[in-house]
Amino acid sequence: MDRRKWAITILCCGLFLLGITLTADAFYVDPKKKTLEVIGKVQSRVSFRLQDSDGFTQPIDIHVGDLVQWRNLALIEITHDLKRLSRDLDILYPLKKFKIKAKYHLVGRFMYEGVYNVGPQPFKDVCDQDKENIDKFKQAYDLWEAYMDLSRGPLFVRIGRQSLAWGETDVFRLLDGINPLDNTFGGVFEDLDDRRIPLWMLRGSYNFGRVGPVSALTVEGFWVPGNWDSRVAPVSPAGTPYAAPQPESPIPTVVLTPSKVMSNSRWGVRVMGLLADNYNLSIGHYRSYLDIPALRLGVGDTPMDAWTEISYPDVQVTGGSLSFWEQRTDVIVRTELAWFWDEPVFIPEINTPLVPLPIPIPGIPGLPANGEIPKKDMLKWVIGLDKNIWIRPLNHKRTFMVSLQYFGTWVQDYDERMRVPLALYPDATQFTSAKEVEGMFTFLVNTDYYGGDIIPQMVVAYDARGVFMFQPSVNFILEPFRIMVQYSGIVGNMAGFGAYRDRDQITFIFSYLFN
Amino acid sequence: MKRFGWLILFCVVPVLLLFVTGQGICDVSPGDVLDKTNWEIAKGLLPDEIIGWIKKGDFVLQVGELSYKLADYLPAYVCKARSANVGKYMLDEDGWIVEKATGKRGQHIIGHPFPNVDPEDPKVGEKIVYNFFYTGHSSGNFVTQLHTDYIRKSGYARSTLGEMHNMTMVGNPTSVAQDNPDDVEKYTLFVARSPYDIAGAAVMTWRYLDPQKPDNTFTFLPAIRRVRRMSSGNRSDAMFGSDGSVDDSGCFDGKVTSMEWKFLRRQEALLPFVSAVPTRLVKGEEGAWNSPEDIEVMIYGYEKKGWQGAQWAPVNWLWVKKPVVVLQVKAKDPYYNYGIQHIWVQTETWAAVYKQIFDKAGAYWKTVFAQPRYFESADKAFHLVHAGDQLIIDERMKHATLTRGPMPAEIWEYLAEMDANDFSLAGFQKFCK
Repeated sequence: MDRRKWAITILCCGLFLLGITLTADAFYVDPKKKTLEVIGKVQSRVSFRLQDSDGFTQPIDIHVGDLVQWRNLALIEITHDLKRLSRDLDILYPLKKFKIKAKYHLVGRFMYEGVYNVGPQPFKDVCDQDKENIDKFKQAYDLWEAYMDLSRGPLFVRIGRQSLAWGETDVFRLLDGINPLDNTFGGVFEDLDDRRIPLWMLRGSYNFGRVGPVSALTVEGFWVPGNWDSRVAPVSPAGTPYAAPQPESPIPTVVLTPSKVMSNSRWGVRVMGLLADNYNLSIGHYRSYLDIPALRLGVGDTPMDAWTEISYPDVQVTGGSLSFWEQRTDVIVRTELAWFWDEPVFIPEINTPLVPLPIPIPGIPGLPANGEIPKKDMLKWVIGLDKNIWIRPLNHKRTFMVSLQYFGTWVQDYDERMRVPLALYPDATQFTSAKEVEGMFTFLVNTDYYGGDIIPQMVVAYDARGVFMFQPSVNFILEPFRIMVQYSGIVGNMAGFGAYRDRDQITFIFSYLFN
Repeated sequence: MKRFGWLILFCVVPVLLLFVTGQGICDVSPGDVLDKTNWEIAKGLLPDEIIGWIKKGDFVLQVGELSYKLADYLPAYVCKARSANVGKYMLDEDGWIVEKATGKRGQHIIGHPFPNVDPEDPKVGEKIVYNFFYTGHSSGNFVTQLHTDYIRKSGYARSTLGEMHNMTMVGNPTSVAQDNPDDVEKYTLFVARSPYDIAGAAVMTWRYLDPQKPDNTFTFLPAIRRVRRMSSGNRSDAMFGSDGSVDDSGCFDGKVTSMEWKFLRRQEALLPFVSAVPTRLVKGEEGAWNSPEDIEVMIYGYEKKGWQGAQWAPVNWLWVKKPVVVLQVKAKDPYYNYGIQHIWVQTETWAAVYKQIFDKAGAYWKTVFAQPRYFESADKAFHLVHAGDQLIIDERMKHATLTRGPMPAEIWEYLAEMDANDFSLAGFQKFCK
């Protein structure tokens, strides 16, 4: 049976199991022992654009009020603690004999994007023009997560398809770069964890306990064998609602993803612990692939045989984090500092060189030549502050959770020719500049009312280059339904997330929780 | 002569009757049913707001008596410590429990550190609170399935389900025998299981023996896939949309030194019990003591057809008169969301039973009921006391949160074997997605 049929079979079995319970409790196949749990949800996410497309955003004929997303999701999760079964089943005898605690976790994920069927005509046209690609793009049936946990005393191992997040940041990532992100269905407008792509990984940790002034000293490592999994962040096909704004190119684009070979493995190790019973400290090093690919021109035997090549060079990151509770101000302080070694950058003259024509021709700046991908070391950091604040006139029962973050980047050996590979409309040869030092701020505040039935939240991001992102939302709980209304908007120039400044949208998310 | 007879009839006889009954018209007896027709007889035996609820018809109380003596239903090592610990410990200026004879910090205390309390002692409040903490520690490590119902004025709203692991490092022989290099009083870990949108969220707390050292709290949120530090100062904020805060668990679960304590009075009070007989304990497959599958289930208004009272009112609790002390509590943190609180502590096993919460202006706001359960093994050789249902009623919001004790489908494990590694930063990961 092929993967799609397996996935549908699992979904139907899971829905059947869930459907036979009428309560909103977790469903246990063994309700008294509670070792085999099945939970799940279905969700429909509908977004309407609140701005006309402009610049290089395609399709250009998307206007205010147009449907840009109808994403349907079903998730089934199964968690099975094997402690009781290991007593009864001979095949699991080693677990009992060696006192190993074991459990496994499976998540089936089923996704269908309906905008190419029921959305505005331009999206239907995109589908017709690139049917095979869009058909694959708009639906997915995956064994999304599948891992087994084994633990014995201070040793913990998790093997299988999983997500691993290091670091201390929210909204945007710094040290948290192990798993790739799928930005094709909403980009920065989507929750980080909804975009995280699990990888087939071997991960383990060992607790050394107290060592001198450090308690809970732990060494953790992970390895994603390249021949198991070399997935990277996918690229949105041209013309899809959240594709990067790029001018139409007269030459083809080739996407090179890392091949499934051992040399393309991701790996990492970190040491963490609690210093002086208050300071969470971690230091680590890992190898992974960035979400934003590198770009260069490729040329064959003749300049007419040229292509744009998108590739994913690996990056190594060395860094650490520190978080602690500052008692007098009741603030959680979170910091990260990381050195990104040889991070690909974009310098048009190097990545996409053009050889001047012997005779200038208007509209043709030059002939393409083979480009290279320059690399720079970068120092990146974040400082975050979290505090729960009472604003009793607004909510006498619950605090407001307020979180502030400042992200910074300092390019080493800076080259003034550095750019962001997004063309500035209307000139396809002009690109947004990249500064030696970049900064971004985020602000998040939320609270809840009516016993948690209404949860308003506001997220604001500000790129110091002059771009704001606003994302207010309200989540309503009408058990077993969840209804969220969210506005996402960006104003400012094209720096950073400003590339999506013409994608303002309002989103309605309807979820039904089986338990 | 006739006039003198009427005088005796109308003046002397009532006085004689009052003398004979001994306690005037405010008295209850086993078998009484307290409702809106006779609420006055319970005045003084219950917090005023509960009297008000009975008067309104929201609550109906069945008064009874127990077939067993509460003080006998603690583990044997606690009963033994009752005499061994008399006068053994005191509180130093930092709030540490220290041995009187040596000044050494009491880090291996078994049983109640202060079996006898003197109301005139300026630290009597703190000592009573330590006693009820150690009542909890006496039952060792426990694993509980926490089923919480959210109840509106109109009835049931929704539920959450979670699992709690508590590893105690003091209070009983098994716990004190363990290595405790971090000087921890207890480790607590809570994992949400349903509904789906909170499933996988986990909170881990390390409570230190040092009374001046704040807790360390870590949270795993599935939305960010990371463990992050949480404020240990935010203890009066309602949790997960409930009516209760972190400190409300078991009536009080904060640091003793975070509050100012004042002894108000001793009295008798009507306290809630599950039934007249103790609950049976069964031996679990892994050696722990478990609540039984046929455990008595507490029923509330929203579950009873035709019930006319408050939807959150307990319908089948048994109310028994027992001696209590009442403490006044005030947070030292000026930003704490509560004003004064009154905690009623039953003195036979030092179990906190009621907490009345007033707002910062002094007006009544909420009441916490912590109904205990008394257990014994089938051979009656082993006893313990532990939490039963906990009910928090927010009078202003007309809303209540009910956290169920052990149920037929939610078996609790006591004196469970646990690995301290599970409560490390690495071990925490295994409870997280």
